[in-house]
Amino acid sequence: MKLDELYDRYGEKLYHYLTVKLASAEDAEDILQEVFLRLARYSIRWKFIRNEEPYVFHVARNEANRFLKRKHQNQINPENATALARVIHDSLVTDCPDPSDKESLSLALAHLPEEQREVIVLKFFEELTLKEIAAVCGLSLNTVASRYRYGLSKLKSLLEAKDD
Amino acid sequence: MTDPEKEMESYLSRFRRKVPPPGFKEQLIGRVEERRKLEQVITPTRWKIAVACLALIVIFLGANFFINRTEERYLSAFLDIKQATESGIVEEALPSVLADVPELAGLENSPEILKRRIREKAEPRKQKIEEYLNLLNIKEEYNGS
Repeated sequence: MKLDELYDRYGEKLYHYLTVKLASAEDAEDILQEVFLRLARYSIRWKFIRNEEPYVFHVARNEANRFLKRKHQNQINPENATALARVIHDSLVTDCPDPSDKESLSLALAHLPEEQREVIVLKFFEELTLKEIAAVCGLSLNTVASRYRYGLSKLKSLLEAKDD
Repeated sequence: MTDPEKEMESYLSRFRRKVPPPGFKEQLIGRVEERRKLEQVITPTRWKIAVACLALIVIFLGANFFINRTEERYLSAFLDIKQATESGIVEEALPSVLADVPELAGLENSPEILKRRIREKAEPRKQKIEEYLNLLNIKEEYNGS
């Protein structure tokens, strides 16, 4: 697959996913470059891949995890949650007339546990199905479904707490 | 699916990811292409050639070592020369050296003196080998090979 085509299909989604995962647009750009390079190197494998999208996200996820491991930063610290909230805020657009909605959602997402946030971001913003998310993360469908449910409920309680 | 979940899903569906800044795609693809070109300087064929050369060098060095060792053993067996290390020779020749030079009795532990004596003793053996090799050369020259 050509790089152009690859970008048109997955580039924007990957960039957004990596931006939230790495809590930095600059790092996301660097890692996206690595991901594209890797995918270009693996071009021979494309013929044998049935579901391209989970595969592409899986490669991106592995690359991001390697990067975080190098930086000794597997989890986002609570102190960095505000910075992450800012990054999420800048990476989203909304039709809501009230701008504080986006702010509240960003803050709530930043305070979610990483594994729940990842599932929610992949489901809502990158439009993957739960089955595809399971393939991306190398988890069972049940685990992903339960992370999704717990994530939504925690997100709801965080948003309500903010409103109070 | 419970109602609170549906509620949250409809809330989240009001948000979308932002499109990357203009020129982002071209910049990204440009950088990736550049790095691809750099990577292709060492093409797979060149890698194969380099690995083959390295393997040949290793095989040559291994064969050389093996041939030398075999030749050395063959010569030693032929000329009845014991394979001996320097320290082995010292231990072997120590009593005779001390008997030859009584003054050294006090200097028994001086390895430098002993080594020198022993080297002198081993010299005829070396000469014997060299003579044999010379003979071989003469024979080859005579045969014209």
